[in-house]
Amino acid sequence: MGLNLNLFSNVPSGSETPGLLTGAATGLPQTAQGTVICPSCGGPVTPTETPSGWQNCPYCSKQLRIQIWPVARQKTNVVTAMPEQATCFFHPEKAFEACCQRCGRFLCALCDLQLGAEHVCPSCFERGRADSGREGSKAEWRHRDVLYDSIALTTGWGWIFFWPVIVAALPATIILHVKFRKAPRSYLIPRSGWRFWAAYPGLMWLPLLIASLVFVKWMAGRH
Amino acid sequence: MQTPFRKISRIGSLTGATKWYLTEDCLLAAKRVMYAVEYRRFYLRDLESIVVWHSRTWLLRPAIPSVLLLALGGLLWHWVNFTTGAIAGGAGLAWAAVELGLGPTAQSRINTTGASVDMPVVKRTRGARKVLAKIDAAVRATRGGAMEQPTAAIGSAEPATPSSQTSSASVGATAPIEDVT
Repeated sequence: MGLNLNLFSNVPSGSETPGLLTGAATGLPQTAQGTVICPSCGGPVTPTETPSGWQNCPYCSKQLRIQIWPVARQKTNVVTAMPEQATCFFHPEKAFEACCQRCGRFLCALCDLQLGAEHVCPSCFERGRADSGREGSKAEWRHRDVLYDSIALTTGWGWIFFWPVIVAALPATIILHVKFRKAPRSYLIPRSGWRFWAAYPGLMWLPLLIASLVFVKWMAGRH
Repeated sequence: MQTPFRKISRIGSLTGATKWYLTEDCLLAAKRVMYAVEYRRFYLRDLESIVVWHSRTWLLRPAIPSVLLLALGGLLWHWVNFTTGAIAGGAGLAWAAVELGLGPTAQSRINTTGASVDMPVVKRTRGARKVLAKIDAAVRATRGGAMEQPTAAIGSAEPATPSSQTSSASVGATAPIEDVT
């Protein structure tokens, strides 16, 4: 795969490098290299060094803080395959560029998706996203986690607002704890499972309070 | 608990919170909505720029609660007694002072190769410098070789541009397009 690296140079008109993904190609506003679009007026702003780090947009005077890095862009001019040349599984007319490291399919530059150091095809990428959240799914694919421990904590204490729900809250908390006890450690940002345990005092405090009051009353009557 | 994610900022809101983490190769936004966390990755090698600016409506944050509390204080003073009114009014003034002291809230735009996303990276603009410096350091660490290679390549044709000039300070510097593969 080819990468074009441009260190903020203003590319002279007519000398645009083939394959450079321009704003028009991406659907983004077109800007000269080394400039950013002002979020307020849409004008091109060239970052400058100021003592405070803030600068004003030359068009609307909006105060901006800009951090910019060199542009590394992927080529989009996919090479057409020559006769006898290996071709893309999805685009038989396009030349082979990389191999999907999941399913082994040949890919062209368009279909080659890079996840970290791994090359994958679009179908494997979609499959990976669909599997996201399942236990053992690869962290790279993960795009969503359900916080079962927080649900258990809310269930354990939330019944206070509508007490008859305690009938369902007690088994629900226990089931959540047993079924998803390992979930918090497998979140993309792992956390400990204390919330599961913190749910039980919420379920127990009222019965314990009533029982202790009854016990105190019984003890007082006895003496 | 060991994690490869380094938290760099947190932006709270009424509906949830967004936490930003840095890893070896990406900037991760973990947005919590009710009982789910949705992740969005911005790969460091794809980052082009981050723009932070003052939120247009940030003055409403100190103004609205303060005005409401001051009005409540006035009503309490009139209908109840001076002390309760003074407590409510004082709370309103304290709220305004804290908000003004913390400074303007921030909005930001992250531009990557092929995408431009409006997501707040920092809560307040005064924290922007620190957070952007951390991201900048991570980007430099990730792209270290790629950022320095062109400067070596242009040595004969044009004045060499130090690799450190890849930040906003060096935007005026020129360097030709270089194929790094």
